Amino acid sequence: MRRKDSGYYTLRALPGILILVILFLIPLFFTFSYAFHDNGKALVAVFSDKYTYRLLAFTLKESLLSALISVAVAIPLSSFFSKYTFPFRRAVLTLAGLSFTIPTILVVLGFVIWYGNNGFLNNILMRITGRDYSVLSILYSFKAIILAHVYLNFPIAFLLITNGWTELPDTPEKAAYTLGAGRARTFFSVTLPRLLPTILSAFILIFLFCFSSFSIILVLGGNPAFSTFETEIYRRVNINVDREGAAALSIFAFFVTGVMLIITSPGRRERKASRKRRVLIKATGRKLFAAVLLMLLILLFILPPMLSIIYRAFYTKAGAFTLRAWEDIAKGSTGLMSTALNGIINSFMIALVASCLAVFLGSGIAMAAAKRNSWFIPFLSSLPMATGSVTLGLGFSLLAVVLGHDSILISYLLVTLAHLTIILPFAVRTIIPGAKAIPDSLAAASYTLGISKGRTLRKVEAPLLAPYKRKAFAFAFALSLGEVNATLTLSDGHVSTLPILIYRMISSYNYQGAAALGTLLLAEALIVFAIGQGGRKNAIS
Amino acid sequence: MKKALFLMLLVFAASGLMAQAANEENTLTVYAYDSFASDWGPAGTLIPKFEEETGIKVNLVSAGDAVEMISRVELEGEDTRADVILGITDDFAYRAYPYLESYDSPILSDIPEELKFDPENRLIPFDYGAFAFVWDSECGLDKPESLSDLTKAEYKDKVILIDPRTSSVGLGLLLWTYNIYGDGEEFTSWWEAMNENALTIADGWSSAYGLFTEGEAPIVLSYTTSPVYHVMNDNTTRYQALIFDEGHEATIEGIGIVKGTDMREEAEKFVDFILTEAQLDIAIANSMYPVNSSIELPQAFDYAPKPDKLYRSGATSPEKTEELQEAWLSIMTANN
Repeated sequence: MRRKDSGYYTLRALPGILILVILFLIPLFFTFSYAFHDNGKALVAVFSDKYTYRLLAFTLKESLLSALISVAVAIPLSSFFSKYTFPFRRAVLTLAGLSFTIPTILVVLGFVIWYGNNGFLNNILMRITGRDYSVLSILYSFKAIILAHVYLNFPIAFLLITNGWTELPDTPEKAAYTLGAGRARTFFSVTLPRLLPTILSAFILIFLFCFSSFSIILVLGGNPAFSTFETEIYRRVNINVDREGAAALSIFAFFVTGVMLIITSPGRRERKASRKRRVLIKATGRKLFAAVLLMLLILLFILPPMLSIIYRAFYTKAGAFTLRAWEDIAKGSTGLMSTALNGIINSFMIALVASCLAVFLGSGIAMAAAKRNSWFIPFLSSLPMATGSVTLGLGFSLLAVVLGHDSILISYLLVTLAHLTIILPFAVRTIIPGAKAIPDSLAAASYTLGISKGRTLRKVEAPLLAPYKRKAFAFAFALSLGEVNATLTLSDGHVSTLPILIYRMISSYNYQGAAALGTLLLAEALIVFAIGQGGRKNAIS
Repeated sequence: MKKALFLMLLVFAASGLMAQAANEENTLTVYAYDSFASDWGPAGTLIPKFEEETGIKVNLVSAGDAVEMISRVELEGEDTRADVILGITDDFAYRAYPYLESYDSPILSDIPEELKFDPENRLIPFDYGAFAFVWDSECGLDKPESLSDLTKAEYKDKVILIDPRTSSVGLGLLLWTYNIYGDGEEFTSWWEAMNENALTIADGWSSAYGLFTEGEAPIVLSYTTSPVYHVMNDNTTRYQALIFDEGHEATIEGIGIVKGTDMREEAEKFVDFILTEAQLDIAIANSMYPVNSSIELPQAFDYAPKPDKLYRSGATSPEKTEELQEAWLSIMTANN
């Protein structure tokens, strides 16, 4: 019965899957095929090299730890945010998504300005303690890597888990309390099992992000002993031009992430037809105080590096106020393209179209996955994330060669589709827990009433998915806004987005101009998020 | 929602169409790296000037960095649209040669012999730079006078290095130390000491120099020309390039005409343009030295001292480079 039903949903998932196959799988297979030249000599070399396993050990350690800590920090906070309502609750949730938009180079810069040996935090502490050397040495160590990863990825865990938790009706918990179960016991045996798909979703997303991280690891780690697969793949592609070796290593990494994806795909679960959202309790008295404290804590963690970037856009290192960075940006507007304004519009349009499509196609894929109870569909759609940006870039450059064209229109289309490929896994992973939570009996009831599948999907299932889709949109939008590599590769440099302009500014030594553009990027993301959140007063997150 | 999406796509498509520039026959297609091709790069003013002077339309394609550019020409093979490629560094030149044809430009006589890395003139140098450590002269430390000075204990955590596995600048230093110390004991002990003295080993020049300008450490691996920016824009001579008597590693960027182009004449004009009129703009924008010895540099370049002795990165074979990288990695991770 279920199988027959799912045909319609599979059909709806097809366009998304098709795009993935054309834009991602085909170039990927070409890239991977290099590994098999010469009877797979490179592949054998990689699998038998001790260094590969050292890389594996460190990459796994770093990404598992980052994901674990992000999730562990997020759970208690989410538990509070999904129980109570208080002023600024949504503002904090919105702000939490921002760190996602910043290109890595600015994250590094923001981190250095704030946490650096000569950064604000140390200067403040030096003034307090009266010492003349840096008090805290946080950066350039393993803990700096973890701190930066948690900084970048904690919002994923926080937003996804809060979202999922708010969507869980709290009647089972109440029943457990009535039956005399304690808080801890209720959490572990009643709440946690139901929340697990969401937690796993957040965990695997963060894991994948950290697995392919390398700029942050090298700069903030400070030691080449901290090297991930991505570092080595990058070296082989860009410095040593060993395409076979790079492909072989990519396959190895891909194999590891693939296994991770399969283990963490949530299994078959029975879904019950209780669709009561929980009602948030208004926080008063001590709870309100706790809320304020928690919000402050979150903001104190999230905001300083971002504010540091904004500060640098207006102040020189010596502390003098200047608008020069902004004048530099204005000066750039002599050309037709590539100016700051154009960058803002380009970034916005590409992110908007790509993330609308990602949410649309992603929910198709997520629904099909939920209906078929399939692990394969979400696995397939997660693969671009599991591939790592260097390999993905290689695939895209291959695509650019094959598609060789002179048209700017095609450049825009390709860039948008590439962004779609990159953000689609995110959208799918974010929506799946929502899709899985929709009980089959609801649809069944709707069919019994003679309502078509399309109408059932639109009127019954889609509204239940809406909060997940909103989160997916926010993530997708932020991710697309910060994307650099695919955009450069596929547009021959004819499409300039804000992050690309940021890199160009920096390569001509203008770090302050880059900070100013970073400020614009943050502002743009904030406005879009605020609009997305506003006008939905009844939405709970 | 779907209607809105469709409309948006339409607007999007239309704006793309309107932005679509001329794409006619008889345009010269030039592959260049991104920082050249962007409107903030030298291309913004140079290309219109060239088009106006010669009546030749130029289609500038930003094809990534030097390596990506070569990869692209390799993948495209005979079907490549490129007539000219600009920005291949001497160390990757060997990969580009099969796709290029010689051009004995009349301007070659203005270029010093030691910069011409290709005897067949398939790649003609158009600018060059030298790697150097840049330091903050107000940091209160003694000025390092040589590579070996940097290994002294007083520079502990004062130097920002760059990874030779992920950056051409980082690789430049690796080859520099190889040219001076060889690959034996001296090489190993220099790097062992620097492993102690390095505050961090950044992934690329951008983050390394960012750390430096934020004051995280007073010495950074960069170019001899880096102080020019600070003189021209911050009006300060505080940041200075350290010139060592031992000599410096150079990087030379070349331009070449693609084999089988049907626009040979136009391509030659473009190359000559780059070697003459464009020299100054490119030098300033790239923070590099022009190769054409008749070019007068602005005063700010006084702060970009030219080293007397230069080693060419392209002179080291790719196999040796990889061997050195591996040696480097094992030195730098020995204690971990």
